[in-house]
Amino acid sequence: MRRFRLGVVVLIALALVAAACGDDEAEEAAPATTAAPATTAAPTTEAPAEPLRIAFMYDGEIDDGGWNEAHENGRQYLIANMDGIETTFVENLSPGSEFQAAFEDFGSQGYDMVVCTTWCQDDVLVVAPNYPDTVYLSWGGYQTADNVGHFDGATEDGRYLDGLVAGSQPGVELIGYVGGFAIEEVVRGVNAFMIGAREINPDIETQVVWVNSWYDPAAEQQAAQALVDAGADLLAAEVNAPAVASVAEGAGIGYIHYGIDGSGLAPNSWLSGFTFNWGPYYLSQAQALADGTWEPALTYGGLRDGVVGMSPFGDAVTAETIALVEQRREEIVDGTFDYFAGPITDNQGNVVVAEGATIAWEERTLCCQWLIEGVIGEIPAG
Amino acid sequence: MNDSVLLLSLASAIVIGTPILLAGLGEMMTEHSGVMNLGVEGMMLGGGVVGFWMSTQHPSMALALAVGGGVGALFALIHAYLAVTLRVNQIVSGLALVITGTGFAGFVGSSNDSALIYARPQSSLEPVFGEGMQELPLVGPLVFGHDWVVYLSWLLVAAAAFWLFRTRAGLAVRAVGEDPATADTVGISVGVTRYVYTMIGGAGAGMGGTYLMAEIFATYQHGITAGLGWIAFALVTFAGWRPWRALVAAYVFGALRNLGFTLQILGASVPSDVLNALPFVLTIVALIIISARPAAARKYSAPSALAVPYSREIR
Repeated sequence: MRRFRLGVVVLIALALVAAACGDDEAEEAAPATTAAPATTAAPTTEAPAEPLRIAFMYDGEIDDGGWNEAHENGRQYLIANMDGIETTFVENLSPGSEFQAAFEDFGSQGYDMVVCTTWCQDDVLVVAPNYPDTVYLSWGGYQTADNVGHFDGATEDGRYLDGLVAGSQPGVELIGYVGGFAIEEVVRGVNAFMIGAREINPDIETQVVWVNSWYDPAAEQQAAQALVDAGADLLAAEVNAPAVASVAEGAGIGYIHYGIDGSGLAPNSWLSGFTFNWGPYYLSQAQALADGTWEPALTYGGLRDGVVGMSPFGDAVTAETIALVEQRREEIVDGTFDYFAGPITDNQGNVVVAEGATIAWEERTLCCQWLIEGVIGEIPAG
Repeated sequence: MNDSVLLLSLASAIVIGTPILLAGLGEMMTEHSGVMNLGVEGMMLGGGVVGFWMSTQHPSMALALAVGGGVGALFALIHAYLAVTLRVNQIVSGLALVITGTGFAGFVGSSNDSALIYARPQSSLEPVFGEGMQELPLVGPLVFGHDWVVYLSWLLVAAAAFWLFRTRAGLAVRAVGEDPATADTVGISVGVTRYVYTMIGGAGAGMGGTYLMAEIFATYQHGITAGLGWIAFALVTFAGWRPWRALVAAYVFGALRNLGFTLQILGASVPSDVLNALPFVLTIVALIIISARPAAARKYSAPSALAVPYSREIR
């Protein structure tokens, strides 16, 4: 019996070691922002006596080479650009009870601002009323409350420019596109991507495959491999993990990433990938809170707002293409070019945006329930 | 074109089936000695991450496999100590190993400045046979289109089948798994046998994980095995503890994982969740079929002493 007990102790120790491995970064990260304010600061920007405490919540790991890493870069930007703040983060949370527990924890510990970097509107609205002194920001939501604001980035702005790059690649006839879930945001991205690609090469087609996950490296790898087997000669991804990059690199075909500079993942295949720059948004929210001017809002940022940008281009992208992308980017920022200008036909042959019409900025997040002409695949029912 | 999509999908199934086969074959050896190790997933991750690291340091895949297998065996050693020496509940110990290996991989994968997630193996394997043979219809991609690790796995299947069922040493292992007390009385060391075969199982899982990360995915990502270790565990039961059946079963399971995406491309949409569950459903179906036929049930059943700790004093 004693031996059995010893075994149990060893087991518990093992489990603790494993658990500690996941947590220690978060603990170390908390006090990392205590640098003294720069002495050159103007006298009016006196650092507040109490630091502004901000917590970030991630649904994956901060170094996932994708979605969460982009948000983590935003947190680092905030740390680098604002004095008198203290940040912390938690990784690997799941929607539901874990999100709610984290919202509760940070609220009860008196955090000034809690940022949830993934879809968590349902959970935040449950908890936020209990902690009116804490401001909650959640990604992708639409229903604000007194202390809840939402933010989102215009994937389609970046995806359109990525599409220009894809369409300019010589000899590309079929693009393989690995999507997470067929939700509006992803579908909107695919559609804008296709508009860009067909602007250059009107015969190009895109085959989409949904992996029904945001982070499943094995499924993404297999989906990408299946696309290569089916003849795709360029791969693009809108999933959190970078497995698709490896497949493109292995197959020796071009690769377009999602949301962050992923050139290190596929050095030879790398073409482009739009980026999310969340840092300035986080900074503006934290600054507004420090100044006492914060209001709950829905923020939808694109190229114009600097939320969406572009990574450095790969070697295979010609100067001519880069010039075109830059030109279009400027036109989008100026408002002189609208890639969603009609007519637009879906892949069932229906006209979804009439001649002379467009998809207005305010209505973007409601789009799209259709895949554009030239996309092979369908939006799964449900 | 559609034919070739299916054919290539089958070839891909052999590729993704290989880590399942390596890990499953290892677990089969472990279970034949009467030890059940649920920690395959953890050993694949824990051994694989170190093997992958090796592949980023040195171009030899053989070295990476050896290192990954060695680390996997060390993880299994933890289980052997708990299960054989301390005689703890093997299910609890195995599950703890899953958590430990996953945590270890996450820690090693991101705890240094140059996170492994951006590291790449120094080399990738080429098919063994020349292009002429690879272009043969049907057998070209399926049989001659692979790198040496795939052929090594076939060799290991043959070796395991011969070893377990055609040699005295294999008989001794199976005796330990079936009736350790009797094996003990004829002078076979139950403890040593179980330690050795548990570590062989860990080596298989570590090699499978290494091949997965260093060759198939050519990248490390958190949670990259995504349940392949559990499929390997189910494989042992599905194959009725027989190596040759494991070979076929590994490719069936591999094909199921690929099938969802191939079907999407061909225009038929089956939810990938359903296909991901099929290996486990098939295992249950196989168990039902086997148990319904007494002769088969005797032949393809688990070792009698599986997961039962052995102690000379306690009878």
